Amino acid sequence: MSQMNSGKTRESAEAILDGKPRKWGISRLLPFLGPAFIASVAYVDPGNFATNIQGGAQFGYMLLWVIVAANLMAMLIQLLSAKLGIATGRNLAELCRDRFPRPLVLFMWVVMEIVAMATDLAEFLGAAVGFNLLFGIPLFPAGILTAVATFLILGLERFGFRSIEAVISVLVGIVAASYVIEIFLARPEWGSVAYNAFVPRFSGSESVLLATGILGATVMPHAIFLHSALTQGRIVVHEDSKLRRLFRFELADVIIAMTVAGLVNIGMLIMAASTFFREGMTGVGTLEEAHRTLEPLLGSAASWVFAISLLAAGLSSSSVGTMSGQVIMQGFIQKRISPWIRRLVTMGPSLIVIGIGLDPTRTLVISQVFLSFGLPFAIIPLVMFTRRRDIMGVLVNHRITTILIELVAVLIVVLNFYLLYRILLGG
Amino acid sequence: MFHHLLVPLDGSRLAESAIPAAAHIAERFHAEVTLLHVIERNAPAAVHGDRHLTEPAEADEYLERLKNTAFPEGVAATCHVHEVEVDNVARSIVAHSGEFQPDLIVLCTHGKEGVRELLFGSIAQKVLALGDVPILLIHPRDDESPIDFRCRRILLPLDGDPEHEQSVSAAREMAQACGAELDLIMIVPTVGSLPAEWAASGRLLPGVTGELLDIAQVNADGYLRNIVEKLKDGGISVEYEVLRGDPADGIVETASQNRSDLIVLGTHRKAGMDAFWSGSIAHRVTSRASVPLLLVPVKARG
Repeated sequence: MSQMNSGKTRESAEAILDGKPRKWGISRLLPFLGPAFIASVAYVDPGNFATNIQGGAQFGYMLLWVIVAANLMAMLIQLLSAKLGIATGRNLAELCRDRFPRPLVLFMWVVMEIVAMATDLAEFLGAAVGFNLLFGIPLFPAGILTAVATFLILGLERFGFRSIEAVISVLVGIVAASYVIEIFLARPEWGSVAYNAFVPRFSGSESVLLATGILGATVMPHAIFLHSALTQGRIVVHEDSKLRRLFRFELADVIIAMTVAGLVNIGMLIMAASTFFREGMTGVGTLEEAHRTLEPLLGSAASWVFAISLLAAGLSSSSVGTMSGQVIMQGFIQKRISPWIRRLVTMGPSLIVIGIGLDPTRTLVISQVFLSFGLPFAIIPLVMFTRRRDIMGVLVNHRITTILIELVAVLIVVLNFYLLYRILLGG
Repeated sequence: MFHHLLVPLDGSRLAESAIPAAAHIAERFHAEVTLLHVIERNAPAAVHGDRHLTEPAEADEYLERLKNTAFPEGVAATCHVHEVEVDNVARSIVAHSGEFQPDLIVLCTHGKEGVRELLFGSIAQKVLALGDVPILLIHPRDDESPIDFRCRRILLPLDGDPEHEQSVSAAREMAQACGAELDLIMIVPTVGSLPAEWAASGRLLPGVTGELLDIAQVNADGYLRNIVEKLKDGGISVEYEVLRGDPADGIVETASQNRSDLIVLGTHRKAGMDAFWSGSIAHRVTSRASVPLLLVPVKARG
C-alpha cells in the first residue's frame, strides 16, 4: 500500500512517529515563521491603522510606549488564553458559564456583544473607506459594497476556498512590510524613538484617549475568547508531555506574530509622526490622508496600496470577528445564530454611522476605546482560571506569570478609569 | 444486509447504467430487485437523448423487457410503474422506498454536476437527503455504454467521527459477499489544506495547529488499527493507511491509485446548498470520482 502515499501529502510525521524529541532550535522554527507572519497580519486591522496614525500625527513619538506595552500585554494574554483552551478543552466563555452565577454570565455576554459590534463597526468602516479611496465612490455605497464583499468571502471560506484568505493576507502583508521597511528608511531620531518607546507619559486627555484606543486595538477582547476556542475539540490531548510541547509551539506562534504586528504598528506611528507631526499639520491624521505615510517608500503607488491594504485589513478581520462572536454566544448562553444573521445585524450600526456622516477615522478610534473598556471582562476571568492547577493541570501559570497578568489587568483598569476621569472632568 | 434492491429508471440508456451493478449485487446477496419507472410530469420529450416513456403501458413493456434480459438466472425481479405523473421524482422514489422497504437504492448520476445540480441537488442527492436507505451511485460513461460492475477492491474512508463508523458494516457486508479486499484510509488535513472549521486555528496559531494535526495522525493510526483488527477477525482481507492532505482530494486520488471498484462513504445526508455550505466530503467526492459510490446515511447520535 505504500504506493498510496505521494510525497506531497506526507508531512513531518517522522518527527512524531520516531518518537525522538527534536532539537528546539531555529531550524525547528523555520517552517512556522511563514505562517506566523501571516498570523501577525490578522492582528493588524483598521482600528490599528486609525489609532496609530492619529497617535503619530497628533503626538509624534510620544505614544510609542503604549504600542510596546500593549503588544507585550497582548502576547501574555493570548498565550494564557490559548493555553487555557489547550489545557481544558473548554473555551473562556464556557468556563465562565460553568463557574460564574448566571446573572454575571448574562452581563458579561451583553458586554462582549457590544464589544463585538464595536469591532465589526471598525472593520466595516475600514473596508468601506478602503473602497472609497480605491474607487472614489462615496462612503455609503462603499458600505453596501463592503457588505456584499463580506458575505461573498464568508461563503467562499466555508466552501474551502483558502485562496481568498491568502490573497487578503498578502495584501495586508505588503503594507505591513512596507511600514517596517520605512522605519529604517525614514531615519527617525533613534534616541527619541527609544526614549518614547519605554517612558510612559501623557499630554492632555486626547493623548489618554488615543492611548486607550491603541490598547483596545492591540489587545482586542474578542480575540481573547477566540484564542481559547481555536484548538477546542479538534483533538483531545491528555498526555502532559504533549501538552507541554503544544505550549512551546504556542509560544512560538504568539511571540512571532505579535512581534511582527508590534513592529508594523510602531512603523505606522513613526511614519505618521514624520509625515504629519513634524510639519505641524497635526489635524490631518485621517485615513484619507494616511497614504502619504507610505510615499517615502512607494511613491505615487502609496495611495492605492494603502487603500487596498485598508480594504483587505477590514475584510480579513471580519471572518475572525464573526467567529469570535459565535464562540462568545455559544460559550456564554449556549445559543447559536448563523454567521449570516450575525453579519447582517452588526452591519446595521455600521451603515447608520456612515449614513449620518460621522468622520470615519474618529469613529474608528472611539470604537477601539470601547474595546479597551471590554478588556477587563475577558482578562479577569482569564487570570482566575489560569492560576488554578485543578483547572489547568500541568499548564498552570508559574507564580510570576500570575503576578504579571494581574499587574496587566490592574494597569488596564486604571487606564480606563483614568480616561473616564479625564473625559468627565473635561481635562 | 442487502436483501431488496430498488432501481429507479426513466427509460433512458443513461439510467440503465445502474443495472449491471444492481444485477451483480443482487446475485451476490441473493437479493430481489424491484425495477421502478416513475413518470415525471412535464418531462422533456427526450431525457438524456432517449425518448421519454410517458404512457404507462410503454413503461411496463420496457421494464418487463429489461427484467428478462438484463438480470441473470436466479435473481428475482419485479417491475413497478408509477402510473400517476409526479412533479418531484426524488420524493416519489423515497415514497416508493417507503412502500417497498428496500435495503439499497441503485441510481445513476447525471454525469457532470452543473449549477442546477449544485443549487437544487441532483435527484440522487435529494433521495439521500429525504430517505434513510443507502444509495449506490453509478457514474455513467460519457458514451452511455454499459458498464460492467465488479467489486474486488473497496475503499472505505473514515474520519474519526464515530457516527461515520456506520459505514463500516456496509463495507464489511459488501466485502464478504463479493469477496473483495478492503482498504481503510483516514485523511488528516495539513496546515495547507485545512477544512473550514480549522481555518481560524490554522491562521492564528499555525504552529499549534500543525502540531495538533500531527498528533491527529498518530491517533488516526491507532484508531484505524483497532477497526482493522475487528474486521480481520471476521475473515476480511483488509489494510489501512493514514494520509495527509485534503480529504476529498485524497479519497479521489487513492481510489484512482488503488483502482478501487467501490467507495463506501458515511454521510450526514445534506443536499444542494446545505452540502455546499458545509463543504460536505460526500458531495465533493460524488462530483469528482468516477468510481461507484455507496453512500450510507448515518444517524446522528445524541
